[in-house]
This record gives sequence, structure tokens and C-alpha cells, in this order.
Amino acid sequence: MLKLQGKAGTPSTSRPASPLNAPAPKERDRTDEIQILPVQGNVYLLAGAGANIAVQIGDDGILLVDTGSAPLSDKVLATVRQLSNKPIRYIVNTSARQDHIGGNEVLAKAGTKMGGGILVGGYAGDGAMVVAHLGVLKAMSAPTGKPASAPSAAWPTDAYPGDSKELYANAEGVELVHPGAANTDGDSLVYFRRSDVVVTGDIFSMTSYPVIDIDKGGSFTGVLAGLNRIIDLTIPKDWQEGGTMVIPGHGRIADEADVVEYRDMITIIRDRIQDMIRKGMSLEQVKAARPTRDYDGRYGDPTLMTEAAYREISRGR
Amino acid sequence: MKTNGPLLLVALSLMTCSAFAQVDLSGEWSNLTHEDVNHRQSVEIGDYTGLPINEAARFKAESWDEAVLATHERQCIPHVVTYAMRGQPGNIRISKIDDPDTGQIIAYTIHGTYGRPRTIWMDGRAHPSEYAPHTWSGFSTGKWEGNALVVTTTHIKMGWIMRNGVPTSDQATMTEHFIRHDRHLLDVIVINDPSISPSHSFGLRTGDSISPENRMHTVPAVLLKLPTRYRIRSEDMFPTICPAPIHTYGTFLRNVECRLKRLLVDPRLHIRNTC
Repeated sequence: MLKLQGKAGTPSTSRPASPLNAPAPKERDRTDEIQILPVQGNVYLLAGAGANIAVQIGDDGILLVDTGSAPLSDKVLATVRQLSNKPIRYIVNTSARQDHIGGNEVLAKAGTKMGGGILVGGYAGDGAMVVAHLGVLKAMSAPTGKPASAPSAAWPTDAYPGDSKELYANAEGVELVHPGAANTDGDSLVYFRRSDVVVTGDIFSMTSYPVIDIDKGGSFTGVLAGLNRIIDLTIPKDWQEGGTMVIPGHGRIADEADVVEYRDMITIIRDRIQDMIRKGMSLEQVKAARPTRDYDGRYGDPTLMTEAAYREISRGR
Repeated sequence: MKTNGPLLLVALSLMTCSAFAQVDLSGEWSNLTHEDVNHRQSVEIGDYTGLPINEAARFKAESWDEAVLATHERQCIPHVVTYAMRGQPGNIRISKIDDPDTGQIIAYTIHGTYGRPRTIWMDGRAHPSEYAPHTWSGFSTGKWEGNALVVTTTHIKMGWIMRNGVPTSDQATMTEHFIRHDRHLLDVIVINDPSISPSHSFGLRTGDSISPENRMHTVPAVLLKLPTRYRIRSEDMFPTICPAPIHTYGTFLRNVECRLKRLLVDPRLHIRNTC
């Protein structure tokens, strides 16, 4: 049974419409099942399968942004099937993290590529097309003879270099934006232009500080640039609410105001750490000074982010 | 037997009316602010008197700079609901929305707050998924407990409870008791926010229905620490209007504290506190 768990958007309250367009179930559903939430236009959120999964549906078929954790792949597939019986055409990965690409193999195998040109019937082969930045392919694969971090069946089939890629699926343009090195060196933002939804991957999270992997090309400053890029893409409705909706890497659906709050937090923390470094403080001293303590209650343990920020800022990147 | 039929019907109708009749909150309400208006709307940075906030909230408030409101992305933000019911200077309109088939009230709407319009759902619906977006006015449901309309609001955006940067997070839950006594309406606000406070913060907001002269009345409102051992009993929530203007904040606090003690009941002792 299709279970919709409320909807994004903030219609006027001058009529008795829910601010969240929520249905009126009798009990709040807090089970461990994967939840489906309509976001806006053709885009839905699947929550509870690792990282957030965005699903765009339409006449062409299904486009997935990220595939969640590997152990939940079958459940994710069954949940996707509640939304549409059309074939999975595209999978877009926002990064190479396990909770984002874990379901690639199962879900890609369940799909069928879009085809065209001289191929009769538009058939272009089994399996969905897996699209990601080149950095994702590098992180998941390995030279011949060396162990790869993911099976080859899960690798991107279409890895793009540079800073953007365009797709067209289900009657809307889909823009993939690589904002530069952020959490890793292969992050992508995915912007559904007609539905007006941005899927951010881990550049923006509603549950934690950004996890920045400097050893794999990540950058604290790059995360900040990525957040500003998201804000550039989003346009709020009146009262700085709604409008372009944002699906973060983890946690609840958001809008520009939520991203602004997060961006400002990262900016404030960067400035504090930068100031401490200028005063000659060591990493241990910075940690002891707890420059994130006003946000720790909301976002949890800041250790990894503080270390990444300190390492990057102190070497003048 | 025949003659008893209509009588029985009338009796049942009266009982039904009595059982389901609730206080009518609808109408236009004037806001009563001037007694503590300075503290409510122009509080100094660093003044967190009586607020049960933790170190994190204090640190965030001390880092706050009002210049942030001039940034492009913040120029159109309204007041968040955790402040909108207290801070607004004008009048509010509370309207009923009823089911056209059954006549039952399915929602109240509140317009004219310092934030966005609010809808308080009265039809027993659940709050949305934890993954649903948050808004400035949040998602509110209400139910009657005695003569008090108890309103629970979740899905609130990150915001503030004071205009000097004292924050609330998006994990906050706001519980209000709307209690009407004739021309007075009291809104008791309790904000529970695990990110900023080990305890509850507590606010009072009262309003008078608009008199023919459209007068504005004096009434205090302040945030004070509410000991968790206290519970609020709706029948005790009569807003005693302080008779004289309060000229100093200290005196004001003492008066409000006095009022609160009158209003609160210690459930362990089953007696009312006296002041």
C-alpha cells in the first residue's frame, strides 16, 4: 500500500489547508519502514534507507538520486514500485559514500536504460544508467589487479568531468552541478528544474555537521561554497518559506531558509576556528575551546569537522 | 409515552450541547503589550533574565548580531511562532472553520500575529512525518482540556524566543493553553527545546477582546523559568491584571512571579501556592 507521509510546500493558511498539506492519518507513523513523502512536482523523498533517496517519476520512467544502504536495497526497490511500475532509467549518485551508493547494484539491475537513435524501440540495454561525477567513479573503482571499494556492477556507467551535466527526464530538465571539492571531490547537486527541487547530497544535512573527507579531496571551504551554490539555485516563496524545496543528504525536507541557517553556522564556525588559528592555538586547544558548542546540541559531535577545518585553514587552503 | 418523546429529545440535545460546548475563542482580540513592551520588543543583548537556557543557547545568543537580518536571504523572514504570539504589536483575529456537513469545528485560524497565519487543527489529525518540512508557524493541533484549548505545535523552523538572539531550534515543541475568561484571553506558552534548554521556558500572553472603544489594556508578559513540578490547571488561569504600571523591570518580574505563583498548582501538595 502506498503510504504518503505528508507533503512539502506551505500553502496559505487562510483556508483550512494544512501548512504541510499533510493527510490526516489517525496516528503518526514512526515505524522503521521506509517513508515516502511527496516533495514537489514529480519528486518524492524516500526516507529511512540510509541516506535520503529522491525519486522522480513520469512517463519516461523513474530517476533515482542515490540508492541508500546496500542491505536495504530490496526494500527500497519495493518502495519505489509503490510509486511507479515504470522502469528505472537513471540513477544519479551525489557522492561515493556507502549510504548513497549501496543500492546501486540491485536498483540498476532492476532498470532499463533510455535509448534512441538507430536502436529500434529505443532499447539500449539492460540496467539503468548510473550517472555521477568522475570523482565518484574514481572512488568506487580501482586499477586492474587492485581491490575496488565497490563492485563494478555498482559503478557509474556515465561519469561526467567538469562542473555540470544536463539530463532530460520525465518532461523536465535535470541539472547536475559539481560545486567543486566539498565533502569529497565527487559531489553533485541535482536540480529538478520543473519540479523546483534541489537534492544536495551530504553538502547539506539536517542531522549532522558536514562530514569532510580531506584525504579524498574534500574541503571545508568547498562545503561552504557548495552551500552558497544551493542558495543560488533556490528561490523562496513569500516570507522566505517554501518555493524551491531542498532534499538534504540526511534528515527532513528543507527550503532555502534552512540552508541559510546551516550556511551561516558553517561560516560562523569557520571564522571562530580561523581566529583561534591566528592566535596560535593548537588543534587540541581549539577543540578544548569548543567553538561549536552552540550547535552541538543540534548537530552532534563536531570532532571530525573541527579537525578537517583546522587542518585546512591552518595550511592556508 | 408519546408526550415524553419530545422531552427526552430536548434533554438529550441539552446534554449533548453541554458535553460538547466549548469556550468560543473566535473574534477579534486586542493585544496588550505596553507594560513590558520594552522587554518584549527591545530587549538588550545579554539580558536573559529568568530564561532557563543552557550554555549553548547563551553562547549562540551572545554571538548573535542584528546585522544578520540585513543579509539578502533574511530580509523577508517573519517572526517564528515561538515569538510571534508574544511579540506582535497589533490585534489578532481568531476564526473558526467548521465542517459544512457536521458543523463541528475542524480548525481555528489565527491571523494578525507577528508571524505567519496559523492553523490549529481540531479534527484529531496526527502531526506530519519527522521528515516533513518545517515552517515559521509550525504545525498545530488542538484539543480541549476542560475550559482550556491546549495547542501543540511542532515542525517549527529554527528561530528565537527573544529579539536579542536567544534561539530556538527546529526540535522545539510549543504547547499553549488558550483560556478565556469573559473578555480576557490568556495564552500560556511552554516551549520545550532539548537543544537549548534543560528545562522549559515559559511565557504568558494575554489579550482583551476589543471593546466598543477599541481600547488596549495593560497586561504583562514575560518568560520565566517554570519548575517542572508545577502543572497548569486551566480553571486556575485567571489573568489578574496588575493594577498599576510597572516602572522597573525588577518590579515587573516580581509582580509576574507573584501572579504565576497564584496560577500554579503543586500537584504533590494538592494545594494552591499563595503569594
